[in-house]
Amino acid sequence: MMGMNVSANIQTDTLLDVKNLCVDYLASSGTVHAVTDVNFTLKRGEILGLAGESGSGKSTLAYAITCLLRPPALISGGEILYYPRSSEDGRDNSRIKMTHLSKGGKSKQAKGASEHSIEETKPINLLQLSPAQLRDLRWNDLAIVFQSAMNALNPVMTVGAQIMDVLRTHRPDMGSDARKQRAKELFQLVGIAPDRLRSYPHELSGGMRQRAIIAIALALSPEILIMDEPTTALDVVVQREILTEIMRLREQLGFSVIFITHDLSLLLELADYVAIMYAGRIVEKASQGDLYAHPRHPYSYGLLNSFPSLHGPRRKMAGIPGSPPDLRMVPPGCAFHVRCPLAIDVCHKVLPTLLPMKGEKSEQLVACHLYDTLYNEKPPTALDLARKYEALAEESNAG
Amino acid sequence: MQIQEAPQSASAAPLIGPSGDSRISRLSGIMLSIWRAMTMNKKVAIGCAIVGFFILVGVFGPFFTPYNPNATSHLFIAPPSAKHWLGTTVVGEDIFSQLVHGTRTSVFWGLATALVVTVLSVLVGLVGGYFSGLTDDSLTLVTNVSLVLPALPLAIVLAAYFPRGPLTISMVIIITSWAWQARVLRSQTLSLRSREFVIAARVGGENAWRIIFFEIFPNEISLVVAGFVSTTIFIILAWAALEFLGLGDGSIPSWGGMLYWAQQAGALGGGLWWWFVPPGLCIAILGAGLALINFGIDEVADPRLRPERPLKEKKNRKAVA
Amino acid sequence: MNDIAVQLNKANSEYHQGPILEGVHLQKKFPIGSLKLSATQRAVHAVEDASLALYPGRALALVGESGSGKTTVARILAGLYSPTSGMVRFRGEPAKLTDKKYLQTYRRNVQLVLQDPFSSLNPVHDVRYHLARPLRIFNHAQNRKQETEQILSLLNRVNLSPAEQFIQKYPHQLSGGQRQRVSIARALAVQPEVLLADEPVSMLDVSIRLDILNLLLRLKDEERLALLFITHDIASARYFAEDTLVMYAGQMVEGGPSDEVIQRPKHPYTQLLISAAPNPDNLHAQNDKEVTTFTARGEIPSLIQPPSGCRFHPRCPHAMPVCSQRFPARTDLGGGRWTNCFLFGDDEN
Repeated sequence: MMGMNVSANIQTDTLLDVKNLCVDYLASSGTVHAVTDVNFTLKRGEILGLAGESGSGKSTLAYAITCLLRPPALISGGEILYYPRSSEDGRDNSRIKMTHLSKGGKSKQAKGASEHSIEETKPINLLQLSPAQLRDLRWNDLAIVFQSAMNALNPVMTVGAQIMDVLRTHRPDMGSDARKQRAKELFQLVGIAPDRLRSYPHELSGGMRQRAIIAIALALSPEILIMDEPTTALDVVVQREILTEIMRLREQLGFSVIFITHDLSLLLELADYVAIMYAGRIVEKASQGDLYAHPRHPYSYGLLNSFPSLHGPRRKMAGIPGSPPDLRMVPPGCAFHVRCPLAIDVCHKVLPTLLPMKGEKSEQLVACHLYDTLYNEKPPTALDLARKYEALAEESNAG
Repeated sequence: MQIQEAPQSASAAPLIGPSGDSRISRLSGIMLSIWRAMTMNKKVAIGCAIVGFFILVGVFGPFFTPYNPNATSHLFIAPPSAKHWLGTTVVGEDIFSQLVHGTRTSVFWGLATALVVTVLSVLVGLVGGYFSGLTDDSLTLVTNVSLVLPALPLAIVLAAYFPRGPLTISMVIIITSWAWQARVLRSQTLSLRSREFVIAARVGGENAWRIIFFEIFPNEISLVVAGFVSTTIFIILAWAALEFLGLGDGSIPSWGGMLYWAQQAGALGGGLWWWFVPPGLCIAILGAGLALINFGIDEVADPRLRPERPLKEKKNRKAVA
Repeated sequence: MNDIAVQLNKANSEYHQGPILEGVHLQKKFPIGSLKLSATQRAVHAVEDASLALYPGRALALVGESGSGKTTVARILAGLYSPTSGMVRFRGEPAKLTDKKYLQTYRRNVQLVLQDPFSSLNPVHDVRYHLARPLRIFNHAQNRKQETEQILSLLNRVNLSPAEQFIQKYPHQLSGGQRQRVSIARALAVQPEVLLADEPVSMLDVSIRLDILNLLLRLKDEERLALLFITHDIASARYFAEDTLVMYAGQMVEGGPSDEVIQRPKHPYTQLLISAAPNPDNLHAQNDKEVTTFTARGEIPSLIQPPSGCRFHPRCPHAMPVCSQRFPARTDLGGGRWTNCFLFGDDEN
């Protein structure tokens, strides 16, 4: 069931288009570039995985997309274009006012007849919306699930009350009975018995709390669900259940997911498309199959090889030497060159850009000079990467 | 089981200085960090300046006063003049001299009493917090009883039995105020006790006392200092109150004592502002100085509480909600 | 090839000399509430009959999810808790862990490395202080010069070089991986024979975990340390340890050589754990390789009122009536493998 292709009745067009996004933190000691020049698109019904370790900028990116950043964090460049569904796709009428939001304009309160009921809706730049428009957008279209459910849930309100709070805020015309009904539906959807609506967060187990959070996130049938390490704090069995649940819900409701985690082995089971981040930039983008079969960037390879395998031969593994970068002091050129076993001379001078692999039909993109014929004649094969990392493993074994 | 990002603290070094090889360099390191702590924050700097001023006056002032504070004269209730900068009392004593000598009494006794209170609360709080069981239960009992005791009636009763004077007042204040900080420190110790570095110290073979005073206590210093400062404010005010009630030794000049005598002589009604305003003002200003230090200390000790600097860069900025 | 044979012989002979540290039928209950010690006292039944043995130069992995009792077992072995029943044996002799003097000598031999690099070092003390304390407590250094030398050598052994720079640093100036190395160095400073590592890499970045694990393995080989490796990640247990033990809700359910336990799990819980672990090979498995999927029901039970008998029985697809009546005794499956499951035998007959 995991990793099945997107079913046919979900349209595969672009839902979110992030262009050249840059996020900075202004500290007294200088500016920290948490996210630099990030580009990706999210299609309807797709699961996009963002993998990275600490300092990669992945969580900052999640917050930036939902416009939840606070000073001293600052979005210093780029656009986040959101393509809402047109009204012909059966969205309920009270949401039509969204389609009136054009770049920089204020929303017009035109319920009922819409002037934009055409297939092509103009994309909305999330960075140019006013706080009121953003509030409208959040949860209706874009929902976020945080890492620690215990931190996200209000400890003094029952979980049922929290779902109904969301409904009351965004659907003021919904009656209280309708709200209760919807809350029960949502809990059933995520697999919690409806009588638990009256429980407080501390009365639920970790897995149930996370399901409750997912239920709240899905309350208004959003188009995009952003999940920031949603299962990191959970046991492996519960994690598997939650992920199965998410896949099932995606099949059923057709939303897209941006799944952020450090666990690359998990992403390779879950995501359709994976972007790997390092020091605030995307260093490789590939489909699940491509990344599993041939990770191109030395960091991707190293990361993938940092997970001991359950089956297959037992061999000495090495991980990646050094440690993830301090964003206050990013190395020049390619930020990874300090740790890279295949670094060449140009790597510490010139910043690589994301380029597609020459002569391949796949959509795999790598930001590495080794694959740029300008700097390196013969790009490394998977075997070359394997050999270099094995040599590292030998070295660490010896001393 | 969460992956935590390495804390990106803005400060480059902690407030406790680096360990040099010699004692002298370690001491100067500590002095340097204290100086840095004092000047880092505006509130703390102003507060320290005020308190420092009063301490200086208390230490050196009495050598320079024009008159003996207890010397009576023929000039009764005289308003401020060139001869008597703050005028005289009903028996002709120079108020300015009284004020300066009173500073020494109030500040010295205030700080000394606060010190004793703090030490006592540290001992009880840390020991009770670290050793659970019978030790903790009995110390908590003592703490709770002490909290419940009504301070003022106790003070009056004790003053009736013991000779009047600063020592009695000091004892009364100590008995009735150590418990508050002890409770705070006990909870803090309870939470620190289960931190992993304490467990690591136990497994590493450290004995309990060493853990309490060398592992746990250094992490509570900011709390203790804040407690000391707030206790000092309280004590100076309480001292003045008790003196005002007549429980002090009338012959030793102090701010509270001045207020007592002023009240006895009907200064308020008689409009003798130069008698009661200066000591009152001194109490208030010293209290304010200590309060400023207290407000600032939290920010100095915990980098997360420092105020966000306003954003300076304006180029290419998009407002983000 | 000769060196390997020599090493294997040495390892085998050490193995046959007997374990250096054992836990024998350990049980631990944490009472809830105040001083009442009646029979109806509510308690957290954290560990129920745990037995394990550590041998010099060998690593044992203790695998379990939250609430499995693995950390409690480690803390009992470290002398931090005393077991409600059962005992700890060090070099074959019962360990009197409640006796303060004995405990001090015990600590000289058994050390603990903790999980959280961000709170296992005291933020107010520098690296020198952290490493000097064990040297002083156990009198490994006679004077300050020797102490400094030993500290520098320890830092080099855990690959924190240049050591002269690290010696003055404070914990907040170090990264997570560096702090964990300092914790390991601190444990080594005592010169122990047994190292208990409680999830030593769970809170570190993925790409540096293997480095730390390889460091521990190297130290194990060089010093002939007996290692206990506690983890929730069964794949790293396979990588790291020769033997693996699986715990569920305070009970031990399966054990044996790591590869055997993980490739051919017998106990239903072990099978569940392995099928739930993230494994990208699952998707791309060959047709002939069987991918075990396991439908899990329920969650880890509360330890205050745990299920009777085998605590996994409410979730087990193979549960039998006897499973709720009593906990199965250990069944020896040969080759060092054992399991506690009625599916494989019932030695109570």
